[in-house]
Amino acid sequence: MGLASYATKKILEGFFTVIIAITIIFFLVNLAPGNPIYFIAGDPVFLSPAVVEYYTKLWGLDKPLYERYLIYLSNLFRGELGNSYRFGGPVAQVIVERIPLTLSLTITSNVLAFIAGTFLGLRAARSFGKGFDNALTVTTFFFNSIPGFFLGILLMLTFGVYLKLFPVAGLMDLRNPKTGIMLYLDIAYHAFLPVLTLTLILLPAYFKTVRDSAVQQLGEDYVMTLRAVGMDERRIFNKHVFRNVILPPITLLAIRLGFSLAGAALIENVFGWPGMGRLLLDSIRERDYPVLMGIYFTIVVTIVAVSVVLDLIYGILDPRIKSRG
Amino acid sequence: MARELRISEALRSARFIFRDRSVVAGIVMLSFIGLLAVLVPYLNVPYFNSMDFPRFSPPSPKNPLGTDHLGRDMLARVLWGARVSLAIGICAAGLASVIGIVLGSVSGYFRGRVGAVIDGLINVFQVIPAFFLALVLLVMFGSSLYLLMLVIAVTTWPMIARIMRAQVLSVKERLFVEAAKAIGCGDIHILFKHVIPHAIPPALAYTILEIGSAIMMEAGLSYLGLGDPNYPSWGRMIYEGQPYVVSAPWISLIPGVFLVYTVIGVNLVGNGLLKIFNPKLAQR
Repeated sequence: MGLASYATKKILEGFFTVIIAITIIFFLVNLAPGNPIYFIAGDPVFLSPAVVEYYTKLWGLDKPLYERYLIYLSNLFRGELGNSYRFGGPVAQVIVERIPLTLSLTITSNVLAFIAGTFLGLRAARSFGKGFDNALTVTTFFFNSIPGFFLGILLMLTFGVYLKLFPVAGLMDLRNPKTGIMLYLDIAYHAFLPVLTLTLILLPAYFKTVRDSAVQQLGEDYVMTLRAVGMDERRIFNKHVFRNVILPPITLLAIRLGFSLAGAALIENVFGWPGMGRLLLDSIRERDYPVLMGIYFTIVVTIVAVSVVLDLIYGILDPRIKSRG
Repeated sequence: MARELRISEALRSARFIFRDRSVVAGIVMLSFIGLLAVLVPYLNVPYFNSMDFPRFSPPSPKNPLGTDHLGRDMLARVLWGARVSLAIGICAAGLASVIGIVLGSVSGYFRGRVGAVIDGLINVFQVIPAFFLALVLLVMFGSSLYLLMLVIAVTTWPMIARIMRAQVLSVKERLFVEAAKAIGCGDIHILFKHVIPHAIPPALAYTILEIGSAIMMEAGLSYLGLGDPNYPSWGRMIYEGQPYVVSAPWISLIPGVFLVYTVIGVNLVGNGLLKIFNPKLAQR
């Protein structure tokens, strides 16, 4: 199979995955009990039928389900996500406002976890079976077993409430608002604890992947040869073993970056960070279906796009993958 | 004869498993909490919903773990919570593993059109963020323990299905499968009697790990207020203590400690088994 047809196949697969995923969630949301009008406007007892009728027409809820589905799909193809029930404005705008806030948390913490995890993993493999290795293995095992939101609460209590080193919650200091560069520093200061929480939660997988495959490399002939010629142990690891173990954590990083829009909902909730996760929870509670679907669409497209790109890159780097399909 | 062989084989693998220290440690940790969860109705603790005590009382001789914002005994709630959290974890993971094992092995064994459909399903479920889907389902359809279990199972089976499919793909090529075919066994018979028993161990180990993730997922969903309000799961208790986390931190922290303890136990057992059954998978 040539590269072009391989790429076409992967892209088509991705396209259909998105369509199916959208279909599932569309019917789930629209078949669920509860009329969104009542969630937003209040108890039906106090609503005049005219108002209900007006909104039913406006939001197209009077049409049969399959028609709404087709309308939704055709709107999606035109890049139209509809209008928010709550805010009235276009969904795309509501979502776009939140994206940078969430990405600043998730990308930062993923990259930090990747770097720290890889570094610590290599370092632990170097002292395989000794104190340093064991201590790190136990610590990362612990962080792998603690729910992120609970770790967030613990860190918030320790550093925010008792030690008063960092702000407990929020995006910025509302009491004395800053401007210019100071505003960004203030946001970074507020982001510290959520980023720390996420990094600690994400780190174990990188650490384990790198450490275990580096330990496996220790038995390889080339390591023995390099040792025999008297190469510095650190150089063996940072140069030669490193090259052989770096691919899996990079793949993991890429996949996780794909999920990065969805990944921080709980921790955003702990720290009152107004990102995608908060928007998602609010729109679910308020039955703001268009925003909900919009967030979902954005997340799924990101994930699929990243995985298609990843497949293509691997297809180019390793010709064997293409022939396997 | 065959049965004796199977028993001795089981004993041998049991001995093999118990040689792994982390598995033993995990089993000890879990049996402690499991025993408490089973025995709690017979223990001398107050009813978990009775509000007979002063509110916000810190740990004291009368209430060893303190009381919560409604004056309920924390010890009683945490132990009853163990029942709820463990039940959800075990049922959700069990259900997910049944779905995953059946679909995964059918897709691996038959390939063709059926396999393609199942593969497609697995792919779709892998791009849908599980937590997101669970959240939507719970809010839309109202929250209850059973729905929680179902939702967690429905969103987490694809991983087990993938492992199972990979296993079946390799077991299928082995000689005894060919031999079974040669003597005229049907596909269904071969799949369930010969292929699945050989392919299943890593999937089972993963199911145990899944119990831990299911408990954590339940906690996360409950933390957002989507748990069943009638029963004290650990996640639900952390959620209820959240507004008082500064003034009465024990309300949230104690169930959290139990939660982490249990997940550590589960992960010790699961990881250890995965290492024994399939060294390659354990590295992930």
